[in-house]
Amino acid sequence: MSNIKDKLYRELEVKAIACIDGVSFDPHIFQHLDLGGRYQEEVHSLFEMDHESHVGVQFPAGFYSPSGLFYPLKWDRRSRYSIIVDQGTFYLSSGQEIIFKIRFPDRPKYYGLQTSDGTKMNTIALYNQEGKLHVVYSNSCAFNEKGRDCKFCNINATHNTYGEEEGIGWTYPRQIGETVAAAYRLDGARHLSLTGGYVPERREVEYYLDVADSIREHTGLDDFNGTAVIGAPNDLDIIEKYKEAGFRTIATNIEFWDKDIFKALCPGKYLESGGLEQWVKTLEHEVEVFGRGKVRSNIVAGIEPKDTTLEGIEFLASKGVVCFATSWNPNPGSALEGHRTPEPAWHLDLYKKIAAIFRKSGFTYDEIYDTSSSGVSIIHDIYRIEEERLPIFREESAAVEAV
Amino acid sequence: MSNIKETLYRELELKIITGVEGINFDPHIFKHLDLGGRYQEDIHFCMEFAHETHVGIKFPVGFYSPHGLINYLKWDRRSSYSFIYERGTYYLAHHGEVLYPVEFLERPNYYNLKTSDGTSMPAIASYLQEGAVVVAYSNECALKEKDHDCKFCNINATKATYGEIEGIGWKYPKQVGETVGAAYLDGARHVTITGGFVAERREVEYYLDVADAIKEHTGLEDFNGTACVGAPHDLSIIDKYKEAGYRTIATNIEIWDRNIFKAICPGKELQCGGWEHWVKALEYEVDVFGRGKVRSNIVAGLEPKDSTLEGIEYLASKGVICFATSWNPNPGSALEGHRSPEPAWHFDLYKKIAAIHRKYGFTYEELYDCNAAPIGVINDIYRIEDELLPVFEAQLV
Repeated sequence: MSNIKDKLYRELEVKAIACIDGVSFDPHIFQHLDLGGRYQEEVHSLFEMDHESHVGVQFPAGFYSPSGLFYPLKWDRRSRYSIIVDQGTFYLSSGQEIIFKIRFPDRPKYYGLQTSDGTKMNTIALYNQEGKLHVVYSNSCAFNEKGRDCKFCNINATHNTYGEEEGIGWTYPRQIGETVAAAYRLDGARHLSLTGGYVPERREVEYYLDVADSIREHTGLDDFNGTAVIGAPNDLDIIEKYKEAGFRTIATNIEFWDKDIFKALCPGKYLESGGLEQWVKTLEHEVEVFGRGKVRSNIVAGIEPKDTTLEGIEFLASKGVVCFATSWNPNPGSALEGHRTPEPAWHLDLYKKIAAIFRKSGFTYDEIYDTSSSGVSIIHDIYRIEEERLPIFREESAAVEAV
Repeated sequence: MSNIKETLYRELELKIITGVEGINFDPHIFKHLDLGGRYQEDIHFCMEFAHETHVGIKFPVGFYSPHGLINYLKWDRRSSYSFIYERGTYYLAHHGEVLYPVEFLERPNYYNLKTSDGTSMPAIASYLQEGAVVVAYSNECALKEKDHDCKFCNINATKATYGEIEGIGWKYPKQVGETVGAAYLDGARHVTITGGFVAERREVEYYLDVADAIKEHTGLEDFNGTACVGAPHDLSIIDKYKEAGYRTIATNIEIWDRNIFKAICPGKELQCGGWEHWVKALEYEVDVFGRGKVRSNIVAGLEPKDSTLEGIEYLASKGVICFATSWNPNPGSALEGHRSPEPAWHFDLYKKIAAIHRKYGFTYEELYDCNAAPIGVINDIYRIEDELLPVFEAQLV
């Protein structure tokens, strides 16, 4: 392995700690940073990922290390890592030791625009780096009406805490079409995920089709590289409609592989969309409609035993489903607030094993890019390290040529 | 609240923090301590509670807080709490700042004795403080044969790591009788018989033989014993434990959410009739032994807190004293690498459980009699509120 790859793998250990245990800082440390101007601010369109809520105090969306890895920001005062500022320069540090200098992501241009009805575009589509947009049509989930929220989820608590303050609410197809078009045109965006909480009576399909029409109209693209993130429908035939509407990929998040833990922790998904078997059937049908490597799922990693999660990912990969895992974050307002996710080393080991399953199953980088709402997860990083896709490889190569 | 109670609650909070997060120290720090002589050593009779194994390096079993709360020792190098040794004294410190000098727990006399067949008595019965001894008749669990171990449990890994080196194995009724007899002469006054599942669920005969041996060697008809058993298929077996002379009985349900129970305790689900049967067994035990004479336990932190509290309240309403112990994702369990909830989460849970026990009228004696380790946080809350700790007497004097 080249030195640069070694170095990047060592850095992934830092990233795992920073993303899982968070980073500590004085919440006012960013007061001199041009957030909302030059730099991209965090917007709570779906979940609060910090350990504490911080209404009215803006944080950046994340930061880059010098080697080009992106770190989503998770504020946690208990972390061994911290962000410090010295003469206007920000650093990630561990105790007194500086780990590296931080670069904050630039604010995309469309964040400064408004839709034709005067809505701020940054409340319509979140920029997730690497050309990815995250459109949340609904920042609340109808499961809470019957006390059936997923126990690990804080979507409704986040809505209550930040919704009004940050102007986040239901988003309309035209707003989305205009915003996506602006992001594609001005900021080089090239993928979007359309997602959100459950809507009453499962009326999401018509909405998704209207959104797809609007995006096509405003971008002028027939294939706009969209992922429709949906719950398992009771009638599987509906899945074809998403394909016909122009979504390139589809995602259905199974959350757990253990069927009993699924039942216990996802009471809404279990009672309103059938048991785990129905979710697996849905994913298999989605592969029939969209094709291998065009269907994504996700498991919340760290609640069930690791072997169970890996068994599910391997099974789904064998069926053509790209099933990611995201580290469980017992964030404020979820029923599991106060619990803790496994150790960073546990998660990093899991990510490495998932990346190995994906490679064994022949999933390409483009497939894991197109199906995921994030392009900067550790699994993506592993692909980008192995395939030398990070800018640092080009810089090194240029340096060698110059010598 | 009196000053002393406030102080004790602060020490209790620290006890929970160091119990959940552990204490960091150089594993050789205790070379100056007379372990196995004046002070009681940790014996791995059932489970390793430290974050790492430490074969061949003895640790003390626990220590006192300044006002007399007993803390078990959990070694974890990642903790911000540590032990410091300076000029003959050990200190508990936080981020290097000394909190208090530590007094370790003294070794009971029977730990120096052997049974008539030459077995070292501490390998038969562990002293869990406050007059309570525990006998793990088997330090392995037959559920592993079908890969049905409880996912949070490391009993089989602990046996594989420490069994041979510490001389821990199957215990025979005569050994148990002699050891409990010696411990009772030492002032012990409660014994729990427990252990992993045995093949074909043949434990009942064993428990009856053990009860006979204890009665013979202590001379006590009522030896204040707790039979800790898995839910039997035939509930009428429970009557036999009562007839044998056990004062109390315990059946650990582990998790209240029936689906999580199924996922995390596959053996208890598949080989013992499912979660409903465990609840039925507990209710039947109350019919036989009486209210406040039946104990259960939930591993706290595997399910949402509300679910645990719902179970404890339900069981209390039926006369079962259901404790919770903080989940410790220890080495060798299927959940190694996971983390227990934050200490504050656990403290809040313990306070709520103690309030439920009070609401249903359970007395301190009932809590004491049915619990294997009477120095748990819930017992501490009772002893603070009822002023049962020695520090209250000292203050009076």
